[in-house]
This record gives sequence, C-alpha cells and structure tokens, in this order.
Amino acid sequence: MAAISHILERGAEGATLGQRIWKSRIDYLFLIPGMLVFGAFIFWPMIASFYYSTLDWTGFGAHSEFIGLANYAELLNDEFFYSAFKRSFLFMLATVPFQMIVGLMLAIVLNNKFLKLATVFRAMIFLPVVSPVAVIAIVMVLMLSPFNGPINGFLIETHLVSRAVDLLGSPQMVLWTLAGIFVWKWTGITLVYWLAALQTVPDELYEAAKLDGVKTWQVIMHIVLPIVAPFAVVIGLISAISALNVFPLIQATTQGGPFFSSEVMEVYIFRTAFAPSSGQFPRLGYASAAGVIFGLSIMALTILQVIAVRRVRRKEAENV
Amino acid sequence: MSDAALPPGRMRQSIFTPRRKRFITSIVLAVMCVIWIYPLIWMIAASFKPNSELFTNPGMIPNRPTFENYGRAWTEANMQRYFFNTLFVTVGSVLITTIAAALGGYVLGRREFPGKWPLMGLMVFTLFIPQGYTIIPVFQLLTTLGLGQSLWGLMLATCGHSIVIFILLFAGYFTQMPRELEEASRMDGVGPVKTFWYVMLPLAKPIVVTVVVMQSLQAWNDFLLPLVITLANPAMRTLSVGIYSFKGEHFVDWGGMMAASTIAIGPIVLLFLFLQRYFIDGLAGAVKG
Amino acid sequence: MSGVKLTNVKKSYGAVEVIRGVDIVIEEGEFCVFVGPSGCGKSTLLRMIAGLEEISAGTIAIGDRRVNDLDPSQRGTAMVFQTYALYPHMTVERNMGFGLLMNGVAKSEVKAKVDKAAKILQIETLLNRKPRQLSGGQRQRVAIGRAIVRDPDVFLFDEPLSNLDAELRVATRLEIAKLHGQLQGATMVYVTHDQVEAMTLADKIVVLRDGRVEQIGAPMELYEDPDNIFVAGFIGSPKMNFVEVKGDKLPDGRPLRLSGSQSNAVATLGVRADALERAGPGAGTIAGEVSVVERLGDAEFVHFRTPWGQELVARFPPGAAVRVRDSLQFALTGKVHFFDAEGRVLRDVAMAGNPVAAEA
Repeated sequence: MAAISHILERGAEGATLGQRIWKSRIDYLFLIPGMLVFGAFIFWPMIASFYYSTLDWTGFGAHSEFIGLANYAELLNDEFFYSAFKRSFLFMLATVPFQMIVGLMLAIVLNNKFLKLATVFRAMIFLPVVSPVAVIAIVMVLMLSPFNGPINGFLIETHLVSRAVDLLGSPQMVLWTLAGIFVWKWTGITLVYWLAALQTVPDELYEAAKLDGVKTWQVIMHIVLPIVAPFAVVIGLISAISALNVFPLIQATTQGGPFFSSEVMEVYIFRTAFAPSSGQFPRLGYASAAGVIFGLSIMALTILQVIAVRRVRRKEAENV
Repeated sequence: MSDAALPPGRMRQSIFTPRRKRFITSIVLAVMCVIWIYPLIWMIAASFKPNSELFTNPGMIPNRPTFENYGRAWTEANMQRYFFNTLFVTVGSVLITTIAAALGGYVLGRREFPGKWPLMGLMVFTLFIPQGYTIIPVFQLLTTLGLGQSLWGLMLATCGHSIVIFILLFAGYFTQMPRELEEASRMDGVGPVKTFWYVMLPLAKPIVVTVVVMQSLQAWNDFLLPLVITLANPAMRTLSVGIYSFKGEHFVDWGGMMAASTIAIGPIVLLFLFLQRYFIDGLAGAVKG
Repeated sequence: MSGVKLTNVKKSYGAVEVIRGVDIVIEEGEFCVFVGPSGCGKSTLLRMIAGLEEISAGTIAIGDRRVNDLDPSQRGTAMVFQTYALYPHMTVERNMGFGLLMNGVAKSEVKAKVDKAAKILQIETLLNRKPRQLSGGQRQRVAIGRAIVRDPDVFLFDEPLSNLDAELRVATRLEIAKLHGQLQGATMVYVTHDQVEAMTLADKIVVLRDGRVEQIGAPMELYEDPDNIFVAGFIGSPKMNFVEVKGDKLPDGRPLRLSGSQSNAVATLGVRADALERAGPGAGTIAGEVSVVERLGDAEFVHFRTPWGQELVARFPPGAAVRVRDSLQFALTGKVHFFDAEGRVLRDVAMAGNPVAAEA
C-alpha cells in the first residue's frame, strides 16, 4: 500500500508546476555539480561536434566559416579516411574473437571454487588492464625491438627465426602485432565478464552431472556453454566497442605508422585535427565530420547491443 | 586442465586424484600467469639495470642493480613534475566526480521532482554516444573558459569521462534503500543535507569505493585528453603523456624509460591490489546490469 | 501531553480518494488502535498524522495546534516503523540520539536521555552494538527507544509487530501495553491489521474500511455491539457466524420469530460461536453436521455444515463428546445481532421467545 502511494505521490497535490519546482529546489541544488560536469563535457560536446563538422576551421582561435556538408562530401573521396575506417573494423574483427575465446577458457578454469589461488591468478591476468596504455606501449616497443629486444633475442636463440623480425616496424605485420598487444592488455576484463556470467550456472548442475558420471568436457560442452551462450552477445559487443577505442595504444606505440599502415580512425581524426603533417593546417571541421560519421557507426553498433541485451533478458525471463 | 572447472571427483578411480589434478592445474596456471605478466616483470627488472647491461644481460636479475635510472627519470626527464600533475588530476577528479555523482544519484534515485524523467532519459541516451570523438569541442570549451592550458581544465574535463555511469550507479543503489530510513530521519527533524551526509552516503559506501577506484583508474591512465591539452605546454604533462614523449626525446635511455614506466604503473597497481574486489565488481556490473 | 483530533480528513492521489472524510478524536493519554484490512487507509492516516503524507482536505490537530502544514519534526510526534528503520551503520546509542544530536542538543543531555530510555526498555547492554547484531525483538525495542528519546506527545506505531515471529509478537505486545502504563499520559496511536492486537492493546479502537471509519469505540463495545456487519465480522475470533434471513425464515425454511418495529428489514442474522448452544433433537433453531472439531484445551470449536451448505462454528465447553459427522441441533442462547440489507445493525430487533422447532 505504501509503495503504491509513493508512486502516486507525484503531482498528487494539484500544485502548479512552479510550486512543485520551488518545493523541489533542494533537489535541483543537489543536481548542480553533476549536471555541470555532464552538460559541459558530455552533452555540449555532442551537440557541438555536429555544428563543427559543418565548418571550414583551421585551428583553435582561427577564423571559421560555415560550409554546410562540404566536409562530408570531401570525406567520401578521401583515401586515408576509407583506409582508416576499414582498419578500425578490421582491428575489431581481429581482436574480439580472440579476446572472447581466451577469456572464456581462462574463466572456466578459474571458476573452480576449489582452486585456492584463483583470485591470485585472476589478479595477475588483470594487471595489464590497470596498467597505463602509455607504459604498455613503451615496454612493448622495447621488448619487440629488432635491435637487442628480448623477444627477438629469444626467437633467434631458439632458432625460430634466423633474422630479427621488426614486428612493429613492418607495414604487413604492425596491425596484427598491435592486435596481439591489445588482446593481451584487455583479456583480463573479458575474463571478469565471463566469470560474472559463469556465476549464473547453479552449482547443483555440476553436482548432478558429477553424480551421473558425465565427463568434465561434456559438462562444459552441454551444460556450461549453452547457459552462458546468451552472455556471449553482450560480452562480444562490449568488447567490440572497446576494440574501436584504440587510440591510446596505437598513438603511443606507432603513431599510426609505419607509412599510415596502422592508422585507425581515431588516429586519423587526431592527426587531422591536432598534428597535421608539415605544411598543412589543422582541419578541425573536417576532423569533426569524420568523428561524427565514425561516432554514428559506433552508435549503430551500440544500439545493436541494446537490442541483443533485451533479447537475452527476455529469454532469461522465459526460462525462469 | 579443463577438469578443474568442476568440483572434484569422478566415479571411476584414476591415478589423478582430484587433489593432484588441482595441484597440477595450479602449477600450469602459475607458469602461464608469470609468462602473462612477463613484460611487466621485464620492465621492473630493466629499470634496475644500467643502460650498458640492458643489451648484454637478457636475464631477470641485474648484475649490478642501480637506482640511477630512477634518479634520471625523476629529475632529468621531469617525471617528478608529471607524477604530481597526475596525482593532482586524479585526486581532484575523483573528489569532484564522487561528490557530484553521489549527490546527483541520490536525487535521481530517491526523490521526485519535475523534469526528473526527461533528465534520466537524456543521460541514458548519451551513454550510446561514443565520447572519444568529442575531444575537439571539449578542448574548444576549455580554451574559451581560459582553461585550455591548465591542469584545472584537464582535471575538470577528466571528470566527464564516466559521470553518467557513476550517477546511474548511485541512483540504482539509492533506489533500493528502504524509504523508512529517510522518513525516520525526517521525523527526527534532520534536514535533507544532513540526512544525505550522515545517513545515505555512509550506506552507499560500496558504490563510493567502486566509483573512486574506477575514476582513479581512468584519470591516472588517461591519454588522449592530457595529450591534447599539453600539446603546447609540456609542463602540464601527466605521466602517460610524459612517458610517451620520453620515447621521442630520450630514445637511447632505455633504463630511464623503464624506471619512468615503473613510476607510472606503481601507484595504480598498488591501488588495484588493495581494492581488487571493487575494481572487478565494478567492471563485472556491466554484464549483469 | 496532548490528544489528537482529526476533522473531516481526506486524502486523494489524483482522482483516487483513499481517505474519504475521517473524524476521530483521540484523548490525551489514550491508546488508540486503527484496525482494518489491508488497503483500508489506516497506515496512510497514521502517516498523515506524522506529517509524512500531505493532507488533501480537513484538519489534523495535535493538542490545540493545527498541524496540517507543520514539518513532521515539529508536530511532537515520534514514529515506530514496521521495518524499524534503524540506521544500519550507527550503533544503538547513536541511532537513538541521532535526531537530537543533529538538532544541536548537547551531547551530555542526549546521553542522559538515551540512557534513561535504554533503562526503561532494558537495552542498556546493547548500546554499543550495530542493528545487524540484534535480534528482531531487540531491534524493535531500539526503534521504540528512539521514539522515547524524543519525548513526544504522541507515539505513532505502524504495524510494529508484523515482522516478529508469533511468540515474540505476544511478548512484545505485552511490553508495549506495559510501556503505555509507564509513560504516564503519552498518547499512542497504533496501526495494525490484527484484531487481536487491537482488542488487547486499545483503550479505543477505530475500525477502518476503504478510507472510511466504520466504528469507533472501546474494544468490548465493538465486540458486543457492532454498528454494522463489517465490524461484527472483523472483531472477534472466531469470526461471527452470519446467516441470511428471508422473510422471517432461515435458508432451510425454518421460521424465525422476531419482534421489534424493524423486524421486516432483517436480512442477516449474526451470532458468535459462544452464543450457539447444543439443543436436544428437534429443539434447535439451526441444524448441522459436524465437519471439524478444534480442541484448544479450554474450549472446543465445533465447525458444522448446515443443510444449505454453509460452514458455521460453535464454541463448546471442553470435553464435549462431539465427533465428526454427528448431526447436531443448535439453539440461539446468547446475543443475536440483526442487520439490514445494507449491513447496518438493527438494534431494536430481538428474538421473540424461544423459536418453535418444526419441520417446514
């Protein structure tokens, strides 16, 4: 009864909107700090991006001119834009499946409640997640260096290769090397997601299967995987979206090089807006337009995620 | 290895008792995990080697351990300054974010007022818009406010990264709290501000810790925003940007670079090790929620 | 100390009216219980007195002050919540003193008040514990203690026993009754859906239904002389037996001889279990076949099925030799209540002598 009355309380007293606002003045006061941050750094930039994308604007403080959709028209004919766009999604396709599979395998092993050191192992696998990307980048550059880098040293000593390989310096290999580093850095988080999903498998199922004499791998194939499968959609999409956010890793490791061969979308935007190659002006409006297009693509992907989550929820509700 | 996923025991006897199997699994996992964090171990080891030894001694243990690298990184490469810049940005943004999110989340989770639902809708909507692409307007706004070249500007902008998620996290938590607690304090004649501070906020401690660790992680490791803000002003660099430019400016000094990296990674890893559960619960919430 | 007066109090949520004009006078020092089925508005009414719900129309006065627009903390009331609402992160002592401390009362004074209340409730040894370290009954006492510390004119209890197990509920009921005696002159308003709690605790019972007062009176008044069929059925255990009456006849056709000017209007006859007495064969008014016998030790409740298929109950002295499937006859020996088609009591109707038993 009390709960219903609480819901109905809103606007119940027949007060005018002004009176209700005045009565809630303390609530608005509480909201001010959060809304200032939200408004300034999330809401406003979102709106402004669209506006900036219609400008010919050559740098902060410089004169800008409204040119309508000209930036968008130009983007459609920009080789670099297309390549960067393609690379971003290629990078996503290269990393997400690995991250998912490695994460799931580790999660299944670590989910054993009799494994006393499970939390220690989990923490170790999680360490790269909390490490600053800039640090990871520099360590990787040194470790993978063709000149005395320890990885090449190891490969040569064990005769796996005869000459040092420049994993980050070769246009053919750089994107795949970066993908490998990315998977290593973020698998810890996918592992945690999978562990959360595995919590939904009731212990009784393991026990019942054990009493039935079912083999471990059969339990995994026929009981565990079908139960956590719906989560794969959610985890996959969360991972996919973060795999499109690779600016720090790539900028700090290769700056998009060599010869633009690892220039993904964000690096392209950064270069266009802030670090033009010599002899060019920064093009803020043009970069904004590229950002808007890429942002909308990610938004489409996110909406897919929401739909997928809904589906999963509905399925769960039916099963319960 | 996969046997470890199950509570131990099988119907038929085997030479691998469940206990032994777990033991073997643990050993295998331990070796794997050490390889996993080998780059980080290598980094720490290298930070104690003199530059001359770095190329000749591939082993872990330095022949002549030295702190010289740290000395050089700390003073010559300005890591000292970058460290305190980062600390300022992290502590400041954690304070602002936590207080702002707790206040906002409390109001949105507990109170009814005109405009509440449109506001919630707007905030949820922005969750679907990627934020990395808004760097240009953010920088332009800070410039307009005269904060484009200042640590204050960087700190404020850093607060924006996850504010919506934090507000919703608090709102969700406060919604579940029994209404009677507030009513009891209202009967006691305790005003809204004191009720929030003495009753509601202490009860939200798990969320406060989660927000603190998540925002610390974000602020400490942030790269794009500090990079852009400090492009024209190297004195404002944070550790992440400092290490990034170290590579360009002192490329021959590997030892110094590794020492600088260890300085950058140390505090956040310690924070993680102490508050592991909150880091992991906070992130795992993304799947459950 | 002061009483509470409600005058034509109304409450609506939008178009839904949940309290429809209530008038109640609670005297100073009185123990008043609001009772009624769930959804009757009793909790809302209590929360309106407390100031937690706004009043849509009418007046609430505490003492001689109109409190409609006063803040809850200024009304001189203290509330004990159903869920106790103890602050989980504070010790018992701080829980009890929190309100006073926040309002700038000196620490030593707060301490003295908390100690005094703790002594009354015998929880002195619990003062340094947190609520989660207490049992349900102890939490209940702390919640009451928090109310006592504020030294209110009026105590408000919102179903305070409903989260306790049956045994503790009886014990705590006694404690609350004792407490009322101890706190001389404190007015108490108590909400419950349990009529036994109402009967045992109250000086005055207010029976509510659908946002309206059905009847106000002392417990025995309501028991012996209910105003209407709802109160008659709600108060008393087991529930009063109701039998439909059509044109001076019972459903099986047996005639009823009634006297009084309104006897034509009688639609329902009500009789409590202890007003039915076993009669010899052919001598009763109501007949039935025994379906269940509940033996409570000091009495036996005999449930029987009438020829028209209704389950009724009669109270027998202990040791009555009654078995399931016995066919019995019952005489209406005690007080019989008559109600009209709207359920209102017809006070001037009475049974005209012993009814003649005859087959129709």
